Amino acid sequence: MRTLKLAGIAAIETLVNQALKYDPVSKKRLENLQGQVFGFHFQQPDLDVYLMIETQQLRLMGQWDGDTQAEVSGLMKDFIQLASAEDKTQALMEFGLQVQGSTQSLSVLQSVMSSLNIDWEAAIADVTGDVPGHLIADGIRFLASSAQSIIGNLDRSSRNFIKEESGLFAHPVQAEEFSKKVADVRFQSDRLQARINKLKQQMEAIQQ
Amino acid sequence: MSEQETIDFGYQQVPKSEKKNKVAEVFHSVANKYDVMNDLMSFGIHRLWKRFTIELSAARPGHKILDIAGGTGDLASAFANIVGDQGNVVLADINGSMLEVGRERMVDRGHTSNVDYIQANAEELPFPDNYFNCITIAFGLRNVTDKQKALESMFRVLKPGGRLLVLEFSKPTSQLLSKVYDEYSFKALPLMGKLVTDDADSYKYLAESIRMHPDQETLKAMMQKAGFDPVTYHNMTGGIVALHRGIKL
Ligand SMILES: C[S@@+](CC[C@H](N)C(=O)[O-])C[C@H]1O[C@@H](n2cnc3c(N)ncnc32)[C@H](O)[C@@H]1O
Repeated sequence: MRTLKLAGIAAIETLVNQALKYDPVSKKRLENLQGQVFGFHFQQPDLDVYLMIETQQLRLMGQWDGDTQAEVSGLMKDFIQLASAEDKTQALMEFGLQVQGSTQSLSVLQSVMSSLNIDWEAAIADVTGDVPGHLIADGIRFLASSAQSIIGNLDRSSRNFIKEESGLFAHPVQAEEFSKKVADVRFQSDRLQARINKLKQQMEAIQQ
Repeated sequence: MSEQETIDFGYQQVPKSEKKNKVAEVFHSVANKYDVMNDLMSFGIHRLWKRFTIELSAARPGHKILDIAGGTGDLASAFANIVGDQGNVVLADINGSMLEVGRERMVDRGHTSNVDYIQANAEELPFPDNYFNCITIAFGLRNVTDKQKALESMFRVLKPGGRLLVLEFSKPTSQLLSKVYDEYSFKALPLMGKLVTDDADSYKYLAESIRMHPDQETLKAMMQKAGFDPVTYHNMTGGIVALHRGIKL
């Protein structure tokens, strides 16, 4: 379902652009990056998002058919674990995000994004549903808050170039599969809630 | 004064010299409601189809981009943001009123410096050879009389390496969807058209013109015949709409 994914991406884009609108300082800082495109590749669940810096705003895209300034990839669960890790440098060695391209531009982008007043968690929950929204938001928050340290600690020789592992990214995102996983999780949590409610009722009945 | 020649305008008689303005007025009022109708008819999905078009455009700062049959300028506006001050976007349409509304919308959206407005027929584009990096035509090719000629004209003005993107209604891939869609477009569309623009006939025409438009494979072959190679297409929303991309090598 291509349109489903496009809709989700459009919603987040609107949110970011609204935040930018009321933050002229951040907007000004982005001017230096104008025209650049950044790729983010989440895995498990798979999600590719490309971010383009336009003149007055950002554009988020589900795919991009051109050059990028930098690309970052990593397992969703690693993003999440890194987000909650105390020592990000240590955690990074264990979980490793792969970065390719201009780390300098990426670091400017990261600092602007983390200065924007955005509730990523709520935003993504709106798009994908509560549970994965929470998880993805952690990942994004992590990206915004600690990309700096990743970049700072990247040893050039140990950088993992995404293109070298292009098998991982050869195919476009299976958004359908992603949203199915979302639905599964939601279904399971609904069932769990129902069971809890039922147990509660039974306990209350016993206590009476 | 009483000698002035008159001509019919609907059921009214108006001075001949005024008819042109009156007709323009009508188009103007339809053009103004065009955006609302687009959202209503497609449940807003046309915006997503257009987003996908941008994603496949590979547009970059400094590029020259033509949005032909550009209407109210949805695509042109997005491109103006991407190409920046070094680039240039041409919003072109055969209809002067549509173009005027397009210009107003573009100014409302804050675009002034890097957009040009040109009244032009897609069949005979008034641009030099090898000029644009990218050409888009969204829901416009259907209305063009000689589509093959238009595709050839677009091929001519594209730079080598440039791409043409054709976003257009196409053939639903499943029979069931096809049936539902038929019901919707032949019954619901004209009704909506009547309610919003008081113009059911135009929207009846819309439904009919969609059926007359070449299907995915036929359009692909036409683009190849015009010289594009390779030509690929993506179905969207079950093939109700398809995005064709042709490269000029
Ligand atoms: C349905 S509108 C699409 C407008 C816009 N591209 C969009 O997607 O919202 C079709 C447009 O095609 C224009 N048009 C029709 N025939 C044309 C031709 N031969 N050359 C250029 N434009 C044409 C009409 O004036 C109208 O504005």
